[in-house]
Amino acid sequence: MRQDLKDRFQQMAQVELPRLRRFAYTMCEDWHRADDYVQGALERMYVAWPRVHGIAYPGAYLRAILVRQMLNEWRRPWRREHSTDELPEAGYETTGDADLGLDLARALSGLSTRQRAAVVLRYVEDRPVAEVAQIMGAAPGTVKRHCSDGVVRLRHILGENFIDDRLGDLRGSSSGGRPVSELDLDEIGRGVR
Amino acid sequence: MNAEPTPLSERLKQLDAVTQAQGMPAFDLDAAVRGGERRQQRRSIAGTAAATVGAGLVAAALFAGGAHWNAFWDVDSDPAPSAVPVDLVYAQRGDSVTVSRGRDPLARVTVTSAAIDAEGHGTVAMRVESDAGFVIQLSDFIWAGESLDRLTAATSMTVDGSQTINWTYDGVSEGELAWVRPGTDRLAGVWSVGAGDSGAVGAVAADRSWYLQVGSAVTVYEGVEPQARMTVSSVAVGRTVGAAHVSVTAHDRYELRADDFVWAEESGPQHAPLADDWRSLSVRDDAVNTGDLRFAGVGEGYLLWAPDGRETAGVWLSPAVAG
Repeated sequence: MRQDLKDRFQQMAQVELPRLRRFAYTMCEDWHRADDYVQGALERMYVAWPRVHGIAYPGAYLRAILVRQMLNEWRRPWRREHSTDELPEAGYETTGDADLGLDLARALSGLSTRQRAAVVLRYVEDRPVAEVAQIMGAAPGTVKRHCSDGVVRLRHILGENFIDDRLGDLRGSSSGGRPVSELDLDEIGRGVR
Repeated sequence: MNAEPTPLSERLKQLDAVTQAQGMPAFDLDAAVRGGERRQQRRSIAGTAAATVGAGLVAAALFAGGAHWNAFWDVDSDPAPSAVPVDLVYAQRGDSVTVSRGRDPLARVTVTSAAIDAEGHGTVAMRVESDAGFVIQLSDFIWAGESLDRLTAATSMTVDGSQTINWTYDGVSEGELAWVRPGTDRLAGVWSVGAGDSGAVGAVAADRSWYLQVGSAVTVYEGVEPQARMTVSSVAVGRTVGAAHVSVTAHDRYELRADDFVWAEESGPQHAPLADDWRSLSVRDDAVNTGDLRFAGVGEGYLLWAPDGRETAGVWLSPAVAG
């Protein structure tokens, strides 16, 4: 790869890395595994970089690689996700404080992988439904369902004392945020749904 | 007194801030760059190995010596019409495939383990039970991983009774072990393989996507169901221009993107297709769509298909440079 492209890749990665790592950690609750996924996503993007270095939102591209890689790998029989009704203990709902040791990954641990991805991308990273759908390689309606189901589960953990401030978007009134057409996310993910 | 309800997005961002405050372990970005370079290099290494074999090869190319083979396919290398009886029925249940002729069971084939060691060697153990002298061809088993699909030596074995067969592949990664029906590109069975040194083998999840190259065609599977099939029917190279003809078909819908193809020269440089041709071919409902790819300034090498950010899903040799 040309040195200028390589430099630009490293600059992009430096900028994206902190949030991308937190996103991966939130998905799997393990820093080692999270960093393995982040490294894999960066490596794949590096290979594609000569043809995708001009994309407007490399962070969305990286998340798409990462999410699809996670979902596809977790379809392995020895890694298969088993749904459970066991949620982390409740009791945090009355404080709203962040000093009880509950971080985002733990709060979301009762959600399925897809629900976690949808909730983080929508509520923490403020991405519009259509963009989340592109990242996850799913239909917008599916993303809305994952968010809705995830919020129901979150009420078991965080209690009832929050309002779903994305509900309007989930009902389809507005996607908000930047125009999805700028994402150019069709560079990735064919065949991985 | 109850506090005012917090917007969920705000609440979750507070929790995200907790993660931030806890700090993160160190991350070696340079290692990720080196990993990306290795992935690119593996393409080049693969190309060198493929090109040394030359064009016109009908079966598979020797790679890295020994008795282990890679699936570098020439466009003329589609499976030959089978001499094997076509009336065999293959039925997979769990880790076992039962082979029958009509109502008569001939054999039961069970992959009992498939492990990868630290050097990337994959070892498969398979139990074959038959009272009818069942002939099994090991080269019908393809290890489809992240990079090149792997074949093993064309060893034919006749099993009468019960026998455990072990064989190995070089340079494998976690993936699928596909048993391709002799003389076809259809599956007789498939197993998820390569859970490190544990040797664990399991059924392929119905929603897992994976790719398998047999001859000039790469099939995209979800679970055991073929979703799309991409075929390269010709690869040509002139003094400076490379060209390939591709076709794609899909049961449901599929989009084949031109920029998922790379022309990798034997000497290392890699080229994207010319942008003024087509950008993508969409196909659905078992229709077929075709397109030509052109690459400028290329030398002898090979055509790669690398969808989904993979290293490779398909590889085709170019013929020798004309003139």
